Formats: sequence, C-alpha cells, structure tokens
Amino acid sequence: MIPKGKRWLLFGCVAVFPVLLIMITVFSVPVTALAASVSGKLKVYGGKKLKNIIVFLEPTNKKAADAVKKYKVTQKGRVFDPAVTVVVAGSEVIFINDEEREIDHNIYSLSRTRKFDVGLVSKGSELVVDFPKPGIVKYYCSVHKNMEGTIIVVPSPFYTLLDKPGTFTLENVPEGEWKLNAAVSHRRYSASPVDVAVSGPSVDSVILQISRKRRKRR
Amino acid sequence: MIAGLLALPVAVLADGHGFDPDEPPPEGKGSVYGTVTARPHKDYVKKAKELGSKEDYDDNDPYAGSADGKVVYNDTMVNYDFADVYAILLNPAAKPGKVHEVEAEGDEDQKPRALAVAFGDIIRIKNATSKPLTYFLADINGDSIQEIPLLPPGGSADMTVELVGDLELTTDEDDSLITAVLSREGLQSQRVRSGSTYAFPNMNPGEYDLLFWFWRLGILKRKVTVEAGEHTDVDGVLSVDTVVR
Repeated sequence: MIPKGKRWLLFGCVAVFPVLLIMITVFSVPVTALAASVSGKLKVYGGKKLKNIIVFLEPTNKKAADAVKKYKVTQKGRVFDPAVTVVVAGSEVIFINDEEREIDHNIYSLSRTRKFDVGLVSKGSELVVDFPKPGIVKYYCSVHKNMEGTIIVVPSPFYTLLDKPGTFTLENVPEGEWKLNAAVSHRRYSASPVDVAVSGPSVDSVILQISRKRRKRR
Repeated sequence: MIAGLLALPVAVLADGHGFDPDEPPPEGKGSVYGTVTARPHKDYVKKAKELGSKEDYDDNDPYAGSADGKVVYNDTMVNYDFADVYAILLNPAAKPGKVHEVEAEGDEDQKPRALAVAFGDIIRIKNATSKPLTYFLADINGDSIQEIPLLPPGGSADMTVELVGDLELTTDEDDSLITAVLSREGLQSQRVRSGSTYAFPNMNPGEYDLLFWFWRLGILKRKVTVEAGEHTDVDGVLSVDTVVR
C-alpha cells in the first residue's frame, strides 16, 4: 500500500517519464539529421610526393563525440603490425605478442605525447596502453633493432588516411565549429589548418594545403 | 661520491681522454668523471640470466641468455655492448665552434646515427650518395627549421647550429637519411662505447647539468656539483627502465 501523499509522487514519475521519452526522441532526431559530410581537396606545395597523410577534424570549442575504441598491434616475426596505427584520443592499443617461438619484446616510447614502458611482453601475452591526448607517438622494442612503429592519435573520430594528396570526404560530422588539419610524417612539411563551420548537410570544396616549412629559428 | 677511492686501474679510464683520477686537479679546478652504460630492460636481463643458467639451455634459443649471466645478442637485437653513448655536461663557460662530421654513405645510410652538439657548433655534411640532397635541421617538438643549399653528389658543406632542442638532421629528398641531434647551449660532450669511462676535467667549481644520452633510449639527467680540488664520480645506466619513469 502506498501512502496517499506519495501516490501523487508516483503518478508524477509515471506521467513524466513518457513525456521525457517523447522529448528525447523528438529532439534527438534533428541532431542526427544535422550530421554532415565535409569534403575537399588536399594540395601539397613544394614538389614532394608525400604519402600516407591523415586528414582530420579537431573540435574548436568542445570535446569531440566519444569514439573510444581498442586497437591491436601484433608483433609476429619481430615486426609491429600495423606499422602505423591511427587512433582517436582516449582509445587504447593492445600490444599482442603473437610470436610462434619464445621471443619476448619490450615496447616503449619516449614521446612527449605518451611516454610508456610496458615491461616484458612474452609470447601469448597482451598489454594495453591508453592514448589520452592527440599527437604522434613513435615507439620501439628495446630488444629488437628493427622493430619500430608509430601511433597517430587524432582528436576526433572524423579522419581519413590518404595514400597520396587528392580529394577527401569525412562523413557524419556533427554541426559545430571545427578545424581541418593534416598529419604528415616528413618533418619538412606541415599543414595550414582551415576553420570549417558545419551547419547544413554538407561542406564541400574545402582546400587544405600542405607546404614546406620555412626557415624559422627559435 | 667524491673520489679518493680511485684505485681503479688507469687502463679502465683510458676512454676518459687521458684523465687520471689519481692525479689531483689543477689549482682551483675540479672534474666530473664516471662510467656510462647502456643495457637492455632489467626484466629482460633477469630472464636471460635465468634461462642462461639452465643446464639444458639451447644456444640457438631465440631468447638469448648465457650461463655466465650476460645477455647474448643475436643479429636481430639491439646490441647494447656496442652502443655509442654520450656523456654531456652543460657548461655556460664552454665555447662553441667544434666541428662534427656527418656523411650520407648511400641510400638509407647516414652516419653517425646520433650527434650531440652545442649551439654554434658546426656540422660538416658530406653527400656521398649519387643524388643531390637538401639538408635541413628540424626541431622534432616544434616548427623550427634551418637548412643549407642543395648539396650535389660528392659535395660537402658546413652548417652552423642555430637551433637548440631535440633535433633531426635529414633531407628533403630522402628522410630515411637521418641523424638524431641533441643541441644545447654550452654543451660539452664525449661519445664513448657503452661501459666506458668519460671525464670532464679542469672544470670551474659550481653546479652543472650532466646528461647521459643514447638516441634509442633517451636522456638521463643528473645535477652535479664540482668542487675545487675534487674529482666527482657520477655513473649513468641508460635503459628503458631507468629513462622512462
């Protein structure tokens, strides 16, 4: 038996819940509909034929939608596979020693973005490292001289890997203010970020430029 | 540790450029010396020793160990016994201008792999490849760049270091030709084989930053106080487990 005074409270909860559900449904539909595509062209100036360029969007005033995932890097045959892994900030990478013989690895990084030492990874073991902030992380095995890999931590799930300069499209980008940028491995080259405002179904013909860094002293 | 203990054989200290800790320093001066070593991760060393001490240990085992407790290296491994490591002293009184040589010997092959330089030192670059190369020095943690004009095959040129930081010397045309460059103001350095002795004699008394560096393992930092009439002994062990903390 529910006391009389509390019946109204219960009624209130029961009555409000469907209304809230309707409101959430109604208001969430337009948000989904506002997800847009951002497309354009990546141009490289300076004569170099750059490869493996990551084009990505960075939120300018808020945290990007969570898209935290787990990624895997294997080590069979004393090789990190894949050699380059692109992950979203906040994600984890599982380093898996899948060697067929009893070969141990010690994976570590001295990078400012993420410094780590996973200790000894023996055959069959898996060790997890998180990558909370964007940047480029070079890592090595301290045992084997040819084992090195790179993890590129991007600030949002809206990115694409281009094998050469050209056109790109980023899908399902929520509305808001973004900065379009690119990561390149060649130290002589860098991108000039572009502001992108997403408010309609698509943003087209964005030009992103990569050029040779000019002489710049401290 | 102040060294009055220095009954070490002089031969062991031969790497320290003739430095003899049994000899007192010149009037009003002191010195810093010690041993710098690079080694595998401590967990690897421990396991290699355990396996190596087993009677049924197979020499062909991919996990390298040996009965005498030392790590055995094979061709696939980083051989820390042969690592070139740097002992570096940051000394504001040091004068720059030292010449360091770098040579691109062929595709994907440039020597040395690492170089410690002072701001104002000179890097003498030789292009021994068959293609023209545009060399530049880049700050790996920023956008600073300096470059020299296109270097033809067989040509050489000097680059005066104008950047400070953790740098890389590479080329526009081929970024697999690479030398890690550690540049600091007032840097004095000695490159020695792992396990060898370094020495910085004739120092003015005072506090200094002492760095131990192996490009693959990073930097170990120490503060050192030099006292007049004393030899100060500072050893360094470079390993993943001592550098990454």
